[in-house]
Amino acid sequence: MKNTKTVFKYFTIPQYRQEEDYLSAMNEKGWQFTRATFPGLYHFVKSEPEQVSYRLDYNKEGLRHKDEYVRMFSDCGWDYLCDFGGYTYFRKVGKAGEEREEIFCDDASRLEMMNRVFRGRIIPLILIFVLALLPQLLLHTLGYGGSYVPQRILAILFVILAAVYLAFFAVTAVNFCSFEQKVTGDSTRTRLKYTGIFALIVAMIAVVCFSFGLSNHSVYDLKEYADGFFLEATRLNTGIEKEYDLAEGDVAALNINALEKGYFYLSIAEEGKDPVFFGDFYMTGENEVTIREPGHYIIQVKGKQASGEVELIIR
Amino acid sequence: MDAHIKKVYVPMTETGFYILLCLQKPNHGYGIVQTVRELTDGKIVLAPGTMYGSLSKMEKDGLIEFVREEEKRKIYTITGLGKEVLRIEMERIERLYRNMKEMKE
Repeated sequence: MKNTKTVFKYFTIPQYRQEEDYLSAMNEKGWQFTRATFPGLYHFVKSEPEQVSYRLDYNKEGLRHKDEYVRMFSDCGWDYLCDFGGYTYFRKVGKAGEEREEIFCDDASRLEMMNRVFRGRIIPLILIFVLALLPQLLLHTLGYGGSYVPQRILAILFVILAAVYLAFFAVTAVNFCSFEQKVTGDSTRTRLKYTGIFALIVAMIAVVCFSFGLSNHSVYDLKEYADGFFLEATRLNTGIEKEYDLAEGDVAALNINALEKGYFYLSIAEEGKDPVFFGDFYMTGENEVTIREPGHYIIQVKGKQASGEVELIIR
Repeated sequence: MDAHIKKVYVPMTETGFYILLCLQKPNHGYGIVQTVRELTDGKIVLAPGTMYGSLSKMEKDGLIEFVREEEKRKIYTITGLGKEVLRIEMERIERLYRNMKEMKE
């Protein structure tokens, strides 16, 4: 029988109590916790079943002055185990029947630890969400003038990720709020505080969406003729599709010019088939495509901050 | 005394009070834990997470100062500001005690 065991287990950031209980329960089953590693692997060695308490502290100051920090705990009977995700893990072999011994003896210090966790772990997540994830989500769903298949997959992933984040924020806010209410006994003020924090997140999301909307706005002029179109774009951030019934031997002449900035993507394709022509901003000038198979064709112009002119004439 | 100190330390937690009380003589964190345990017949056992957090916060706020290190234990002593805060707390607790006595009968 193997003497070691590694388990992947996920605890959200404020769930350190559950984590402590889990490690104790494993010890009672004869698996002694040794260390935790990225991305949430808990390592155990086989041991005699015993009563062991585990405690997690979150203290960056302590990690910077590790010697004195660990000494303080070891003096009080807590053995240092490892650091993982900003948390420091301690253990103490406990006698049965003893009440749960804590590494915090008053609510003020418990609350301070929660605040350190909030500053150290939650605020960075909020910033990542608002400043990195959200813009990417918007770009891949609304940007690039509609999207191609790989982007659609990315877009779905980003939507799932955003939903996970939002759910996490909600759960975390509720956890923090109920904990702080229990500690301070001041439910109105605490609820107000967390509502305020949540409102701030929503406001940040709104600002990002609004500025994205501004930059993603399209300004263009489209003139349609019987045998084609002429597109003059100051800023094109959308996809324009035109449909034509083409016969064999028809020539689609695409003229791309006056490109100043941004990107154009052009394609000519029969419905549901691979494009017979795909071009981008490198193909400035005139491109002639001779149609070999008659059918119903879709001519598409997509832009990403694109400025310039695109002309199509069917001959 | 500035507003921040007043807000955080007046009144202060039992842990904070015992730390200042004990640091009238230089001592380290665990020394304070032991002293308080003796003073209270084991009724109050200060916990390491609370002690470490309180000591670093009080040092940052200038209520106590670092003296030297001995066997990886930081030894602290109370500062002038710390004494001032301790005096205010003592007066408050004395008043509490006096009032309790008066109202007891």
